[in-house]
Amino acid sequence: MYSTITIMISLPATIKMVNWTLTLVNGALKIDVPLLFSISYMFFFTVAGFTGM
Amino acid sequence: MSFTNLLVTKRTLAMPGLRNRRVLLPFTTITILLALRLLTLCVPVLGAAMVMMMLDRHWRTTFFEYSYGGDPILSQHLFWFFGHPEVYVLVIPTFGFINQIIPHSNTRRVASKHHMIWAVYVMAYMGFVV
Repeated sequence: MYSTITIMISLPATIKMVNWTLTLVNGALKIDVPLLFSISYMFFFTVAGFTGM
Repeated sequence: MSFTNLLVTKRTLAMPGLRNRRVLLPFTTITILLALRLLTLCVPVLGAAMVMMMLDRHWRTTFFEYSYGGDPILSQHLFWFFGHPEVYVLVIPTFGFINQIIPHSNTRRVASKHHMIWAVYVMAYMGFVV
């Protein structure tokens, strides 16, 4: 039960991360501090998800 | 007190006149309210556990004392009923902030708002188990 839901919760998280990554890849970016902050957030969220798994 | 204040403020003051229409709140607002709902569900359990622990320590009750028939594991269960959703209380408003920051320095906006809202709701409900 616990491990099943641990695996299942990665699905909505993946949906969000893929959506944000595609938004960043397809658009023309202006590199400023909020953008760097959000990119670092996405990086650390991914690393934390991997270590959690 | 503060999250009850924010929830009641949303209920009474958010979007007057549009309340029964099919208008979605902004995504950041949705995530903050979802985190507040998680808090209203999980924080009182921690408060009860704290009160039980204080009664054990100072007023001779035996909720968690094994030698008097109590259950020390109950303390951990009550704490983690708070501790597991607390992770998502912290991370779900940050989803909303990132979702607002990303279109700020971009030519595109984040697509498929309904899927993002679905994702945060699913994460919030699953967060009570994980």
